[in-house]
Amino acid sequence: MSALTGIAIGTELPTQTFQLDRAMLSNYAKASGDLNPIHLDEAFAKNVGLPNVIAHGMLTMALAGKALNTWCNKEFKVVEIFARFTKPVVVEANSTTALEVSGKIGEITEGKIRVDLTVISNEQKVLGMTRAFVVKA
Amino acid sequence: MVAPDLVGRKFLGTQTQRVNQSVLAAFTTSIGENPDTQISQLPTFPICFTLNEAERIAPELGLDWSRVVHGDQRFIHHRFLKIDEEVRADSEIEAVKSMAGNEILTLRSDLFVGDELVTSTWSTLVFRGQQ
Repeated sequence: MSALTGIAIGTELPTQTFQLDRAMLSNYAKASGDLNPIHLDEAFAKNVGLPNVIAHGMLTMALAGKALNTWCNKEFKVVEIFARFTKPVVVEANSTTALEVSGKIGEITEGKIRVDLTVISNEQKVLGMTRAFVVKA
Repeated sequence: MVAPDLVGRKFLGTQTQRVNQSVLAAFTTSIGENPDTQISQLPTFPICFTLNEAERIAPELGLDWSRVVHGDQRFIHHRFLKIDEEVRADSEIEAVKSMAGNEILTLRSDLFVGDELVTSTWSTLVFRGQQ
């Protein structure tokens, strides 16, 4: 059953955790066509003042979308999604970076449910104002 | 420096891109989704067809794509793309501002299949100044 069945404003949705690593960044780069070296090349990233390679904001957002998809469980679909990229998600070599996605029902109007998402990595919010509108599939 | 009079400038997609199974499979796999995931379950998937348009437009505006940072992103799905559709992106600059040496551009890209608007996207792109 979808986590969105029987919800009310304020209902909290089960938190989901995803693991990012360099291979995921490389695969996402190829899939999306965003081959910016700040997501792939440690020397380049450091040279432009970043602490290390960072994940694509769009990858982080795609994982927020994946969490939504799990909550929807094919009974609902996402018709709108917004995210602000507020903090970089650093991904070190030979290790994984955890990304925690939680959600809360913000509003319900005429069958449209607004889900407010909180996306955290290394104890920091990495996406801001992250919202999705979902409707019955 | 991006001229403020660029607001409203339109860039009509010059060619279509096919929504093929391999594009979908690469996207699905990269985020660790089940292989049978449908496009309607991937709300950010259309970025695969809009990002390359933004990259194509940047040099026409005198902007260096290698200095771009993504500020924010929105998708509104009127319906969802389908496999084997030919999609075209028509883009328009909706806002331009300069802040702390950075150029901030809001680019809207509408994805069309034929005359039908399928997905509208908005990208705020921050072009970092040379410091």
